[in-house]
Amino acid sequence: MVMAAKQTDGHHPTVGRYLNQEKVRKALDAARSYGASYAEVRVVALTESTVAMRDGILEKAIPGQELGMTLRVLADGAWGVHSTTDLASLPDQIESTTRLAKAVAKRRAAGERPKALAEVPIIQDETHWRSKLDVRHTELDQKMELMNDIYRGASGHDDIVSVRTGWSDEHIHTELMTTEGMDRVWSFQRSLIHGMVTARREGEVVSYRTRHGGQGGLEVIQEADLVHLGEEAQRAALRLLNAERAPSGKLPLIADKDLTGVYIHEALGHPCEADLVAAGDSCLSGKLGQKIGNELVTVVDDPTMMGGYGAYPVDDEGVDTREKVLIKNGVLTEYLNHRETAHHFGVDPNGGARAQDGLHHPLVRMSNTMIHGGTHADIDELMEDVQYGVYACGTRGGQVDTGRGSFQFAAQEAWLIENGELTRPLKDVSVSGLTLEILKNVDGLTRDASLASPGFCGKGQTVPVGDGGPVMRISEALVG
Amino acid sequence: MLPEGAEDRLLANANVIADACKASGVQQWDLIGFQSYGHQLDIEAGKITMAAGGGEGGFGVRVVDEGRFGFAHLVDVSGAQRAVEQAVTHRQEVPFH
Repeated sequence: MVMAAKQTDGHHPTVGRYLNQEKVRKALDAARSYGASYAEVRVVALTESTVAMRDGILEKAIPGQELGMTLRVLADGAWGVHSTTDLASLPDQIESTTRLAKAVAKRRAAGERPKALAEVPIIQDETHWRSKLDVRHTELDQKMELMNDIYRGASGHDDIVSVRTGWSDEHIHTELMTTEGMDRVWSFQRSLIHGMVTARREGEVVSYRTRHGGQGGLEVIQEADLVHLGEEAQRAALRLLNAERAPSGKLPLIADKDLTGVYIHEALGHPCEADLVAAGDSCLSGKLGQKIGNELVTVVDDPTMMGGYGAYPVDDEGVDTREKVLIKNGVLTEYLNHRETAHHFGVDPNGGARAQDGLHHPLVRMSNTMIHGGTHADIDELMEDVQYGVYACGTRGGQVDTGRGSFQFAAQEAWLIENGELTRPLKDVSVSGLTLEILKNVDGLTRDASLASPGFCGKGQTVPVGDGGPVMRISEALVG
Repeated sequence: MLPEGAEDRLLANANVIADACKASGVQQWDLIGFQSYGHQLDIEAGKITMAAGGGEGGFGVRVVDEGRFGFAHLVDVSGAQRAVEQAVTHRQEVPFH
């Protein structure tokens, strides 16, 4: 039995259906006959391209296509999973995967609840978010020209020693069929361009990263002023060469949209993931309906935010996506759920199931996470009242302990604020604190909230995400 | 134990890509294919958190012409011709080393 129907024109491998519906239905029926309460087959076809250049010279250009399929079987309240690129081998795995689930169920720990899924609408449809300019039609020459725009902007100074640029795009085509009768197909694209500028002077070496991208095709990249992006990255790298060490201690902090987005993703978004809540690994456990932040603070996670790097039309369990309001005026209102956690908490699933690709099972994940805008006109108005503090921008990464609710991030660059004005550039600025304290210390937000640089989130699996918000003022944060 | 016909499928798919390479007229080419099968069991604090079977696989194609390399990777061999065409096109952009 062949599961995959090769319906393709040889140019775009994701045209048509990969799953032979009749044969998959028979396989799913077989899973039921072996004792499964639920089974699903999900196939993901990725058509992708990555390009890397250094100082305007091509280093790597690799077009590719990936295809993976995951069979997930729920039997006796436990999961059995089979993921493979050998689609034709799948029918042989139905019985063994159901047996696997039953074997796991027999080893359930005392007190561990059997797993079950919340009810969802059973839908048969196709959803295709068509890009204005299909990125699969973009030739390598054009990608290199756009990457060289960043290079041109970032180079041309004696202290700039290298400019690395990168490109990645992907067309994602997903099909899902379940024992419940779900039969959904959806597709969309993502495009990303990025640069890393390195500067050196008298033994001091610094680097600055810039990124632009989102859900969509070539138009996402073309809309950006890439030369300007490169120029800004050059200026930032040169500023870092002259930057001073940051002061340390509890200080007023103003975070740009990038850092605000990373804070809201890491410190608040992860503790809102219901699988972590259910596992007792979230500082927000038991706090639904409680005031956990300043009433200025409203936070949403929204996969329907078109253009965001974390956008997707349907989640990987076939559930329609929608905006989730995690915090409304300081009150915790909703966790991020997939079907299993929604059943655990007795709520409706809210479209939070995401898998890295066809070879991974869905986890509870964020999409585009941002804090809503406030009432301040701009950063100048936020700085007016700050006698001595720090303005921090972007991030070089960080870590979060969702259970304790503590976090630590390193900013890409920063300035000292003295008497309401930016004075000196700072380097090696890190910000740390407790999520629940910081949410209460947010005391100013600019009106113009938007998604910032695209990013990636790791939780055993890596998925693209968007995050952002307005410029945010925190009355007191630990800076070091 | 390998699923029935696993080796035959891998070879048959490799031959589809090889035919596309031959048809492209490129001076030299090679391809590598693999398909893995296995099991995964994750245990955290004494609880089974994941019990899974399966494996990854796919093909990598390298073309060489006039001293320049081009690459592509794929799983579904119905896209073989396109993959080889792209590897050949990209080869023309790669500088001499």
